[in-house]
Amino acid sequence: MARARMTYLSETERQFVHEQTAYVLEEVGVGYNTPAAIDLLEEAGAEVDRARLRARLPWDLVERCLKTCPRQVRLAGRAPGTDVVLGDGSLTFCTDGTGTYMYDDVTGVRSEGSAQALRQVMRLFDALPEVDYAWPSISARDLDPLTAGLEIEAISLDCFSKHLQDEVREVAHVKPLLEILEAVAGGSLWDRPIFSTIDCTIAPLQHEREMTAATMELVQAGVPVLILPMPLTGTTSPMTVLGTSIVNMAELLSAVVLFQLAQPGCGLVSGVGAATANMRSGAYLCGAPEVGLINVICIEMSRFYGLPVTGSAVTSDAKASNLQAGSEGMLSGLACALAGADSMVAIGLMDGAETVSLAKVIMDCDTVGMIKRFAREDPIDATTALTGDIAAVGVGGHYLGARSTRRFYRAGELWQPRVFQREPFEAYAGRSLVDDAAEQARELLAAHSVPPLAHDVVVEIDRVIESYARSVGAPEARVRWRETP
Amino acid sequence: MARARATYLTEREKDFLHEKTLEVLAKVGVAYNTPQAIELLASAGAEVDRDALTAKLTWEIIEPCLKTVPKTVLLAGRRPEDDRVLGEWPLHTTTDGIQTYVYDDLSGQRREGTAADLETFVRLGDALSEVDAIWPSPQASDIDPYMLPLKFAELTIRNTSKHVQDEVREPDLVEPILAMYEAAAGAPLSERPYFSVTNCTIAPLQHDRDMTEAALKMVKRGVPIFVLPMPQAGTTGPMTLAGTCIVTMAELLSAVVLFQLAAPGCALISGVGSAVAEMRTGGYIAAGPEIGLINLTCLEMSKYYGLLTQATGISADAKAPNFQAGSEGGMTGLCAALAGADSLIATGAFDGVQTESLAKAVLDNDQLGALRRYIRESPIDESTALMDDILEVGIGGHYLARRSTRTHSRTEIWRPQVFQRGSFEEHQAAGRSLIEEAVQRAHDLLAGHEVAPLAEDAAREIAAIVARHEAARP
Repeated sequence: MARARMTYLSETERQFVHEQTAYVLEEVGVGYNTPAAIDLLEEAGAEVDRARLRARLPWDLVERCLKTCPRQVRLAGRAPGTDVVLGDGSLTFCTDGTGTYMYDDVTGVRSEGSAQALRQVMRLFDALPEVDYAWPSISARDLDPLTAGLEIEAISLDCFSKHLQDEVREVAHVKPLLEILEAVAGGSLWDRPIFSTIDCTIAPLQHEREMTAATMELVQAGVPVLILPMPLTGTTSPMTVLGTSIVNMAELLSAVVLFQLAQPGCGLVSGVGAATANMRSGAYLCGAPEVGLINVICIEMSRFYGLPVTGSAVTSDAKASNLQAGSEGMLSGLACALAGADSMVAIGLMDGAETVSLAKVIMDCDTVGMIKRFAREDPIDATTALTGDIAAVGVGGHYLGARSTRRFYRAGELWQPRVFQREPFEAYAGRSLVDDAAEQARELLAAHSVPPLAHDVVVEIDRVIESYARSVGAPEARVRWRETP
Repeated sequence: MARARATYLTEREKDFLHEKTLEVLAKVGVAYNTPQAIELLASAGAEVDRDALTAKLTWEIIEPCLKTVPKTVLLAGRRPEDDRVLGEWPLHTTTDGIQTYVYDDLSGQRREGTAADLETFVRLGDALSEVDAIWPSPQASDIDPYMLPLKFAELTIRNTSKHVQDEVREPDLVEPILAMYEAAAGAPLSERPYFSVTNCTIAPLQHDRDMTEAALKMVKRGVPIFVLPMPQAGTTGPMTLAGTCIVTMAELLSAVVLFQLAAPGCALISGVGSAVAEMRTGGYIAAGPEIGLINLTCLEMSKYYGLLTQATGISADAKAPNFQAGSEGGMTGLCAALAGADSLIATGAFDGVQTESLAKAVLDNDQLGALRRYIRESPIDESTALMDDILEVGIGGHYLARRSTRTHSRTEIWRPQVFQRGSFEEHQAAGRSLIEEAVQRAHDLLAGHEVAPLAEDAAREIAAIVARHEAARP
């Protein structure tokens, strides 16, 4: 079977990157910023600084923790048949997040995210088979900040029936969130992990206190974790692709140690969130070719450590769904796929991951479709060589009448786009690609119904959120997760 | 040094495709459609059919011909600073040719190309930083067909000093066209190959008589030849990618044999022009994922035979320079670059390579810049690990004040010329979309760029050749 693959580092270079990463962990160490983490690390033999909540990690400790990481991680969906397994050789796609704005590619108007926008986006994701699992991709700025963390998850679970992945930023949210998730899953998350959490480390070489403490509790409840280091070349990491990759990997391994000590064998996925900075403004650039290369190095190194890995790709720095967005997204997406990523945080965002566009969601699905076709394993043998047909057609002539033409066409030899325009120029008079994509998004939203949550589950989510809201003094009059009729 | 590389076939799969390609050449053979070719092949021991003008080729005939193909090829410019050596230059690029239409990026209108457009697009290619050579385009529909080939060459030479690659379809025009390029280069093409020719085979398994006879003349004069088979999966090639690649490689090897017999040691490059058909209309799909895989397969097989390669990439099927154009072009471009293509037919085209636009040419220049950054060789060692900085900055803090940040920022991070990386507000305040910016950039380049002038005697000689052709009009 032929499968397109990409390599970047040689064996010697991988060993070099590994040694430098281990050296950083041993010599500089990591700021864990939470006493519970420091307790665990000290007990495991790390050299800790209790006053500053830091630890230096000897390689034998890191190695021991890598050994308990599962090679495959199941991300269950709440609807049947939507489970994703990272590490089983498949290539899956997640949506990107979290955008602050919604952009209308047809009018050029940008607006702030809202609960309604989140509902719309999550429903669209639910309708698209290219989306295997999702982050809540837009922040709902009209929700009350006291309860937004929980209501966003409730909206997402209501409007999206596949696996959900998100950050949990507050320890206080863990208990009510687990109650909600277990109600939706109909049992323990150990059996049906319908939610996974994202743990963003803080470059360089730090963990965020609240998020880390929350993640420790979540992994102990059976929630898989995506570790997402986000060093930025030139600002929070060195100016080189390699130096940034070393910081990314050091932060990743420091999280592997912590969470495997907290819950040995917990589902853990290596994420690559490192990017480059716009050196004039310090802004995050995710579409630069260097980001693709950082992804490739970190994917190769994650595979070196035997970890399932999620790349960051397809998202763009472009200000609209234009040629730049298509190009940047394809380059990073293809690079991640060829480097062997198990999944990608990919669909829906632009403008340095600040903005969501429904048209871009649709067009990204075509980029993703192309990548999947490209990365597909195909037999190169007598079944596909078709030399019998080549001999029969001979010199001149055509293959239109060959039985194999119909058979392989139907079997999907040629990828078919969802919205990309391939017919003659005249066929599209007056219809731009973004018009078509926006129209398709509208049609899908109108036609698609998300498998509903059971009534008692909805009641339970309401109960949990209202109870939490009262405990934190959230106002009674606020926008709530449930749509008003 | 790390360098991103893509691979597709296993060694066994390469051997399998090789065997099947040979089987096709030995059992089915190829139609050369010209007696000159058949004579050469017969004298080399091929089994020929003089009536049908076909020949069957065995490995005993093919292998010695592969051995005489050079491993590096000079593609000279009009000036030495425009010279590029394939096999040494990382990812040589040409503009894509040849388009019928020109698209107005701002109005969305499409019209047939003219002589003025040809001059504009060739000059723009000359000005674009990432373009190494020019495949002149668009077709100048306002020049009468008799004068078109020579006027086309004249306008091209006047507007670029970069290497020119083009088709020559008429054997009788070889001498005047080559004389024009030699006059411009100031030397015989065997010394300064300022011009190279593209030879398209006709799928399945045929050569075009006129183009082949013209190419035979040119390789004998030292003109490098790009062989470009173009079977389309589903119509002129089998529906599978493997089958289409076998037809591509069979046509390629049949051309290797012919041209190496005609001029042993002639510079020859394997081009990959295969594509897939849009099965409802039969239209040419230039940029799907299958094109990437066909490129990858044929590049690997060409390297298996020790040949230099030219792939297609960056061009698109999209109907405008839009998201689709970027996605499609990015896929084929990156795939070809990672597969180690020596040259890439790249910038300017969309709409199944029928149409070009100013904005697309300029935006493709940024796409090429990004591709080059992807495949750049980079050291993986102390010089780039910046361990001292990592140790000193430590936990928390930032790298903004580090000396390495300043020194490496100039070289480590690629900077686009038009792609928009500022804030949304910044670009909104400027009030220009990416397309408007790209069109403006094209106009600025065209206004500010001076093509290296043609020597006066060369210009006179070229004008005289064109005038003689005009005078000989039947």
